[in-house]
Amino acid sequence: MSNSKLYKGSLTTIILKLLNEHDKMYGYEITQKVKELTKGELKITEGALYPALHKLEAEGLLDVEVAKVDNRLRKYYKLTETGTKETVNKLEELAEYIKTMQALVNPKLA
Amino acid sequence: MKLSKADIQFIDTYLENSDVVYADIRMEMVDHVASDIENRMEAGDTRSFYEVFKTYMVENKAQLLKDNKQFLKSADKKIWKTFLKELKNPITPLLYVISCVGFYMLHQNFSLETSRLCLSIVPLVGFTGFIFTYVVYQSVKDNKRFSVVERLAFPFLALYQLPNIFLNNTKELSETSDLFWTIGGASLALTLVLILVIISIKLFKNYERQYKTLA
Repeated sequence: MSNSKLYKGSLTTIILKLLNEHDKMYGYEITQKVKELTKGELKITEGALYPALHKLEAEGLLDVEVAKVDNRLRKYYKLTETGTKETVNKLEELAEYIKTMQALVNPKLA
Repeated sequence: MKLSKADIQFIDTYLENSDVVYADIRMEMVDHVASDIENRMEAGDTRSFYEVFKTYMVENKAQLLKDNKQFLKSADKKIWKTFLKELKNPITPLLYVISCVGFYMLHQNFSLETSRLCLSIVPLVGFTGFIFTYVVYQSVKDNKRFSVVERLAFPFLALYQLPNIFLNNTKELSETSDLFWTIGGASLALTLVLILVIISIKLFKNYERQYKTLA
């Protein structure tokens, strides 16, 4: 991806949005889903993903479930009730941000 | 293609030997590495598991070890966030008031030396309690080390020193303001130690719930 810094501030929103659409997801699954949805344009590294997931967990927005899958243990993340509410706020914030940027970059389309 | 139990064990041992000592952190890393290797093999890499693993590690080992440090930072942040959250709990001011009243009554009925002794024992009891609980927890969990559980020792050690600051500042308690300052400070230290004990129990229970399958 050409400029991952532009996406950095939206990582939390991306994670929350994905978890809002799926019952539960594990770390690697999130990286692959993002890669698939953005056709390889955005690749989330584990160095960015896991700290973000742990931060959301510590804030009480995510809950964790550990299950045995394919000979190993897997940590699944899912939204808590607070997390679901926060997802709505975060998505509204992001939409507002995109609108503002649109007005700045391309005023005709805004 | 799914990896065998022996392959998974190989990844786990490799990471453990690479200083990823905490079982909870390693568990998530093992799953990530294994998923990526499986993905590569499913995408057409026909080499053996060991060859694909070697390639993966050449490409990602430095990042994985960097991630390990990041995981530890996350564990510390989790402890402090839980601690700050608990401070906002209505029980905190209540504990503080009870401590103040308790220390005041202690000061009224016993000598200053007795009050000092009682205060100095509190963090020691808290720290010893933590060590005892940790040792029992470790033996139940087959000596597996858990990041948040083990790193709780740092705030316990830090708070262990806090009451000493107030104790060392109480040479003479002749003035009323000195008395209130000492009781206020000592009660604050005691309240923080008690909050730490409360969050330790909560975090231990949380780990127990999440990682029961790891034992």
